[in-house]
Parts: sequence; structure tokens; C-alpha cells
Amino acid sequence: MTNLRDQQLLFLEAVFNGPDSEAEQMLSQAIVETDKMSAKAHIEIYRNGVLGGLTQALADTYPVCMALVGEDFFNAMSAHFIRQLPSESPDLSEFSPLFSEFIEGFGPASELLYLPDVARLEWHWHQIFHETDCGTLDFKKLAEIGDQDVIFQLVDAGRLMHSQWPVHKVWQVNQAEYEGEENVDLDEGEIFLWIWRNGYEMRLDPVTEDEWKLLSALREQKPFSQVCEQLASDDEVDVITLLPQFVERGWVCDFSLADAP
Amino acid sequence: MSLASSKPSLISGTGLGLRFEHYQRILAEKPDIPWFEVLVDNYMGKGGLPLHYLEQVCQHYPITFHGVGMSLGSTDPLNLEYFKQLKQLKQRFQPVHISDHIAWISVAHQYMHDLLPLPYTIEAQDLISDRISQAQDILGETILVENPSSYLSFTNSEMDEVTFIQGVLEKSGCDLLLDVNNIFVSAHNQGFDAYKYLDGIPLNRVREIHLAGFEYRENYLYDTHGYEVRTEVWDLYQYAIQRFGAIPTLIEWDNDVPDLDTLLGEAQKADAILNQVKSRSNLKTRAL
Repeated sequence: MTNLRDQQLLFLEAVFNGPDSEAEQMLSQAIVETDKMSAKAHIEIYRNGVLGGLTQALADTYPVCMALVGEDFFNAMSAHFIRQLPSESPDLSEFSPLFSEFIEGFGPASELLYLPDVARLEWHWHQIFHETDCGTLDFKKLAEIGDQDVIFQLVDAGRLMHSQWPVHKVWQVNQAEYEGEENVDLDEGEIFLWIWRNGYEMRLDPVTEDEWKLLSALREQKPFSQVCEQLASDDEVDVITLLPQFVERGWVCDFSLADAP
Repeated sequence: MSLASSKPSLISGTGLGLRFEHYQRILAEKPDIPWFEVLVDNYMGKGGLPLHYLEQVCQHYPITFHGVGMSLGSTDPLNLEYFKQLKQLKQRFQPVHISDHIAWISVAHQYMHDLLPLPYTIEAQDLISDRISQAQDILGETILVENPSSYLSFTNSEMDEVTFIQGVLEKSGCDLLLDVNNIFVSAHNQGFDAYKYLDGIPLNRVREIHLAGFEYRENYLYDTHGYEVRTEVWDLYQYAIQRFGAIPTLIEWDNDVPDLDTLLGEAQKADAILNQVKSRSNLKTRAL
């Protein structure tokens, strides 16, 4: 085996498929054994480096999930995930967007029905931390548009989430600085969340169902007239009251003319 | 092929790796640190606090970029999206130079995010040299590549590491980020003479030196960047500085990152060695 491409593909397989794999057997033949260490022991150093680094990246992104299941369970679950859905970007912060979906199908975690949504929340949090910065709405410019239709722009650093479980409370009680009641009633009903960044301050805000509907409609970047029409006929959401509140809270950061080219 | 010859360094003395843990103190106190090395792969996001902090640090300190994401030794095509982002960051933050490693982190578009070894063959030397040349063309500058810590050697290697590196420098025109700790670790693990290795490095191609702390494992040394620089590595560093001159030096510490004062203490030790060489060089100049 002298071809570099083949050797690298074998290395990849040997790292992910484990010490007893066929790839490891084949790669071992290309590794110099030393007095103290077998070829397999040399490969193991790299395997531990790769898997350890990726597991640490997951632990950094999903600290509450890890706190909920314990370090050993989390590491074992991560080992399965890393092999099933490898990283496809040189940017490690883009690793694991599908961790929550993976957990949904991970048998040993099946009793923890709320765990996938906790992972989803943590992924949103992680993304928002690195998301595009937004300015504040230009009221003067808005006042000048008269009765023209506009498309309102929510902050890029914002994500909506709906869950059957009070995952925001699960998240809160697992923060290092949290003080207070530690028991969470998992049966208290569905919740709507708006996770966003106010400047550089991370926020996790429960919202009402009406607020969630309006945020969802605005997120679709429809002209405001359509948003009003849709929500008035389907849901009777009080858009005229809610929108100024959204602006005041910093959730709406810009607008464009709906009929702009 | 070779771009313009190495530009004179705009940094000197001992810099520190910029770590999130220290941002607030650095920005509040503006400690006397000559330059910072930025782990550029941690700033690939679209916005947020990391980029905000970096913007402020750049207003007070020169910076360099250091990364692993180029995956220079991979047999995949270069990831042009990564280079596009890197170039945007270069234009925004104007680093003094950009460095990566003589290693690979990805193949078949799967990223392992850890530095993996190359066999020291002509094939691998040509491949990495060609990719370094491509990287330099895209970035419009001579980059630095760092010698790896190695934990194995391949049966099909045709040369030793230092010969491999000499060829890469020659073929690609890049410069070297000499990691003295890595040389010590590799020399111990692979059983070569670290001092002879330094003797084989071309005199005028080292533009930065890295120092870090390794960890003793049962049968080998591991480059964890989680300890103070070991005595044996300080000795090797002294030898390197005598050979290459007062090259800008960096204290790297990535795991269990200590407080800034500990890092400044390490930097002082490196500066003391750098200053010995500078003093001698001044004496020689006066004698002339």
C-alpha cells in the first residue's frame, strides 16, 4: 500500500471503525512498530485524539444534555453520533446540527422524551452565538414610507422553537449560576420559545402562542399586508398591538419595501 | 511555486495565543504583550462576541492567524469555501501572517479536526507543496507551515521529517513555523536527535517559533498544550534561537488554560532567551 489517497481513506476508516476493524488491520501493516508500542497502539493515539476532540466539541455545544444524562452516557452516545454523522466542515462550530434528530432515534435515550428538544434548544443557542450581528430599526426611515407595504426583518440571531416539554426550565435549572427550585414539572404543557441575541447578550424568552405565530409569519419574509391578512383570518392574532412590542424589544431590526425590485 | 521572498516580520518578542478566557482582562488593562496569535478557525462565524472582541484586540495589538482548517496534506481538493472565509478574515483583520500545519485533518470531505500524519514520501511532499502553493495563490501571500508532533511513522516513508520539510519549503516557497515542543515530542517518540533536526532546518526560513507544554504518557510524550514549557524544551529553544536568531516566539496553551499572569511568566522566560541573542547581536554590530 503506497498510494497516499488509499492510505488516508484507510486511516479515516481505522479511526472511526475501531481497533478490531479490517481497516485497522490493513493500516497496521503500514505503521512502524517500536520497542514499546505496537502499530495498533500508535494508531490508537490518533483515534483517541480525533474522537476525544469531537466528543469535547459536542460536550461544549450540548452541556445541558450532558448534565442530564451524565458524562459516561453522553460520551457513549457521542461516539455513536460521531461515527454516524461525521463532521463535513473545517469549521468545528458547524459540527452536529443533526444531534437532536440523532438522539430521537438513539434507543438507549428513548425514555428521555424531552432530550431531543433540549438538544435542539442548545443547537439554536450555539448558532445564535455566532450569527450575524444586526443593527436597530431606523424609525425615521420607517416613518417616511407612508402607506407602502413593507417586509419586516427579524434579527438574524433569533430562532423559534415549539416543544411539548418545558425545555427552557430544564435548561435554566442546569445553568451554573441558577439558584431556586430545581424540580421541573415535565407535564406542565407545551411551550413556545424565542431564542435570540440582544446585541451580545444571549436571551431565552418564552413567548405566547400569538407572539410565536407572528414571529413565525415575519420569519417567512412575507409583505406585512399578507402577514396581517393571514393572522387576522386564521388566528385572530392582534398584530397591530404585538408588532410595536416586537420593535421595542429589539426583535425587528430592519425592513424593506415589499414591491422593491 | 515560490511567491515573493519572505517579508520582514512586523512582530518581535514573545506573543501569546489569544484565548476567550482572557479577553476581558486584555481589553480592560491592555497588558504589555507584543502580539497575539489568533486561532482563526474559531472566528469563522458570521458575527457575535468572538468577532466583536477580536475587532477590539486588533485595534491595540498586531495579530497573526493560525489554523488547522486548510488540511494541507489531504488528498481531497482544497476546500475553497474555507479559503474564501479565511481571505475575508484576512482582509478584515490584517494579520501579520497566516500559518497552518504539515498535516491533514480531512479526507473524503470528512473532517477529523485533529492533525494527522503524512508518510514522508516524494508523493506526499509534492502533494502538500502543490497545495501550499495553491493556498498562497488564493491568499496572495507566503504562508507558514508548522512541523507536526508525531506519534507514528509509516513503513513507506522514503526520507526523514527534516528532509521532507526542506523539500516542502523549497518546492512551495512557504516559510516555517518551527514548533520546538513538537520537535522534542517527535524526537522522543520517533527516536531521533532533536538538535540535529534543528541543524537541518534552513537558516532563513523560520518566521515564528512555538513553545508549549507536553504531557508524559506511559510509552510516549503527548503534545497537549496544557502545561508549562518543560526544561528540556527550553534548552532546545535556546539552541534554536542561537541558530536562527531572535525569531518571534509564541507561548501556546490550549487545555486547562491558566490565568494571564502564568502565560506572561512563560513569555518572560522566552524573552530572556531572545534578549541574550539580541544583546550578542548588538555587541557584534558595535564591534563592526
